[in-house]
Amino acid sequence: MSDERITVGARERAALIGEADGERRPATQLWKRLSRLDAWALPVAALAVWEVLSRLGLISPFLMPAPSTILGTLSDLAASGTLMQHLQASLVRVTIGFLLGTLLALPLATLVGLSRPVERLLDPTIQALRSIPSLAWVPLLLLWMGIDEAPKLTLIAIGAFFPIYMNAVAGIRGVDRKLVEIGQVYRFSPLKLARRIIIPAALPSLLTGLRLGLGMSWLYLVAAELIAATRGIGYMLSDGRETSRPDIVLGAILLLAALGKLSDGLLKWLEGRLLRWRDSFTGGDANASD
Amino acid sequence: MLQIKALGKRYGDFAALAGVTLSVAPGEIVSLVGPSGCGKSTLLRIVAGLDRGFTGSVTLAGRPVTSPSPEVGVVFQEPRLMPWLTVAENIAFGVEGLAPSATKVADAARQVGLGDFLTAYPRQLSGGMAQRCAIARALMPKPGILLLDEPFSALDAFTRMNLQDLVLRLTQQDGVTLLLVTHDVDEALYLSDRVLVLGCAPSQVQEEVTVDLPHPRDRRDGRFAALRTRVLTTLIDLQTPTAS
Repeated sequence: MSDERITVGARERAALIGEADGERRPATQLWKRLSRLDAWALPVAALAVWEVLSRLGLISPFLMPAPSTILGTLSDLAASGTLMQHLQASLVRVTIGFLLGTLLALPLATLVGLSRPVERLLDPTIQALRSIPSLAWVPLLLLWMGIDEAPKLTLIAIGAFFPIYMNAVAGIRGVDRKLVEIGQVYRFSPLKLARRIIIPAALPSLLTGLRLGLGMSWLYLVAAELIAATRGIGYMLSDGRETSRPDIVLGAILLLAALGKLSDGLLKWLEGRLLRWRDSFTGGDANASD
Repeated sequence: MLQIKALGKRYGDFAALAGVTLSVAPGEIVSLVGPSGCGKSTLLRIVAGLDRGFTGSVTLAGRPVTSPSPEVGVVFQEPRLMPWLTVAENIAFGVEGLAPSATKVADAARQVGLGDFLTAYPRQLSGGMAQRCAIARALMPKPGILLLDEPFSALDAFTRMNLQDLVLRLTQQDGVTLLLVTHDVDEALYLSDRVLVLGCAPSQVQEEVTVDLPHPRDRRDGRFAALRTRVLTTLIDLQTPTAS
């Protein structure tokens, strides 16, 4: 089995080489194609072992149903249309909550990053708010907003806000003073300085913040839906627990893993596109020959 | 073109510049050499309008310098290109408001030998190519005076000589005034009409050497060697404690 010999760096390598080596010999082509699958090796192997152990009766189906059972449950839910409702509810919440957090964090971070007076005015308060565990807001949000969508979206936005804000400020403050000086030589206005030099230079850190913020959005989505919801993946989790259906709980967990990975992949793709100019370490690879 | 009178600059208790007086005529090429930490770069930054809070007076074409001016181009020791912009975009960086035509930018790139690299990113350039790009960017707004702060010190000897010729060629056709800070005595003598040796403690002009040799100069020339000896002697005297 060649799958098992594939190393972790190979996928990155294949991505780096891209289409540039289209005229390589077939054996290398095949190796390249296999290399792209290396990220799947571990989860597929784990699922296979899990399935076998379940079939052999070594794992209790009441605690840990087999992957095939979970898949069956999910497809039943999909067939009845409820799965789609849960997915849709959660996706809409994450999207809106994340966007709210981003729309609040980026302008604030830009102002704080660019201006010391604004930093002195706002940053201590923001840091104080950050030290409150975000879940502590839940009772207050429920009191203020009831158990509708509003408290859920707010909680997700709060969760997304801090990593985005922190990374954006750090990114702006980390911009090379020597590049900023070029803008001064050309008498850029503060606005132009921000637009043409500081924001582009801070972009790598800004995008890292967005990815972390998105991860946080999923975290707080589940928290919000576990507390009070009638739909959504978090609701599937609590519903599965209440009705003693570990297959539903595990199905929801697998869905979260897939959705989290997908949405992060989307941002990672965007990052790759926006930061093509970057000249930095892309990870060591023992197999790299070029 | 440039008049500097009794220029002083302090950083806390440290006097980076203590009463430097010099003037540069239009079209003249003047080099500042001297030991490290004697305020050569500080002087250049003040002329560029990047450092404020100095004493004395600095006037450029009759107007006192208080902030950066389009009359002044600057080339730093590092190319300082925007890594997210292409060569063409970097060259046009200082004149964006004027919307330079693509052909103008391409011309500027061709003049510094980057005609085939318009769409390249800085990470794809060698050190010499990056500095060529920085020179093209600095000359794009057609400055009357170009300030160069050890512009070639990070390059190998061969590339350095190429770029020295490039700067001469590009600036002499438009009569651009040059003020150059360098550690390289040969570079100073090769390029300049006058070489000023800046001493330390107090930072003042210790010696002025007029280089009365026609361009293009030969670094192996006897008169060139004699001038080099003179500048080096002053520099060595400045280093030894007995000189003061």
